[in-house]
Amino acid sequence: MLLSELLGAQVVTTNGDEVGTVHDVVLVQDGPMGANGRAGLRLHAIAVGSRSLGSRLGYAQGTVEGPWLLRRLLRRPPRLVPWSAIVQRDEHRIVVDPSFRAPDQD
Amino acid sequence: MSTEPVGVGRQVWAVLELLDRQLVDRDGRLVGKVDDVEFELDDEPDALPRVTALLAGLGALANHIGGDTGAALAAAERRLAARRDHQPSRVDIAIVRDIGSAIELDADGENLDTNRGERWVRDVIIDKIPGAGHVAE
Repeated sequence: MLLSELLGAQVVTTNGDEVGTVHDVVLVQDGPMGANGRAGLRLHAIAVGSRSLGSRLGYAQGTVEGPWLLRRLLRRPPRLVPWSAIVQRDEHRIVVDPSFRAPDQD
Repeated sequence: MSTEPVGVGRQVWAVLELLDRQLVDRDGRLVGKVDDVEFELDDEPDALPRVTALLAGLGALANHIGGDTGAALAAAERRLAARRDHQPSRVDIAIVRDIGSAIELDADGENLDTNRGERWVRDVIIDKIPGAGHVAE
């Protein structure tokens, strides 16, 4: 599977409700230890919604801190859908369980 | 609303922090740019996809040169990739040393697949020029 196969895919719930489109994914370095002695990166969640200016600049994800005025204006966190909530997936459409709980980003 | 932690390790936003980032080898040389990320899906039902490689579409020389010449080299690189069944250059995640403003690799750029555009120019064009391979006297 490639990242490009996920980006832009429409996300809907099993009830047929639209959630948005995938614009990023959250990786966490907590996988099995690799040959290089470092933990592997695993895909924990997909970020869904429009790709806002805040997310393009990193304010929405919290990877950029200052200046504080921009942080206040642009820090609207993206909606995260845990990978475990995905029940079906193809190139253009991802179906998720509507009971998913948004992961804490901190 | 109750929440679950994303995970306890370092968090990386793939689009924001990986795509379009420069790849640099252990000597600090630019060897390409990340165009995509490859995942492996395990058969276990609750397993999370694991990152196995970073994919780079253009060779290092195209990045170095830029402009019309770089674009022409990038086009040659794409044609070369097409002959190889559209396989992009692949950088195994095991050789990624650090992810920052650039992605540092624990490898010699000369040996990486991302360098094939530069190797192609050297082997197919430069080596065919009379005098190539000889130090000027």
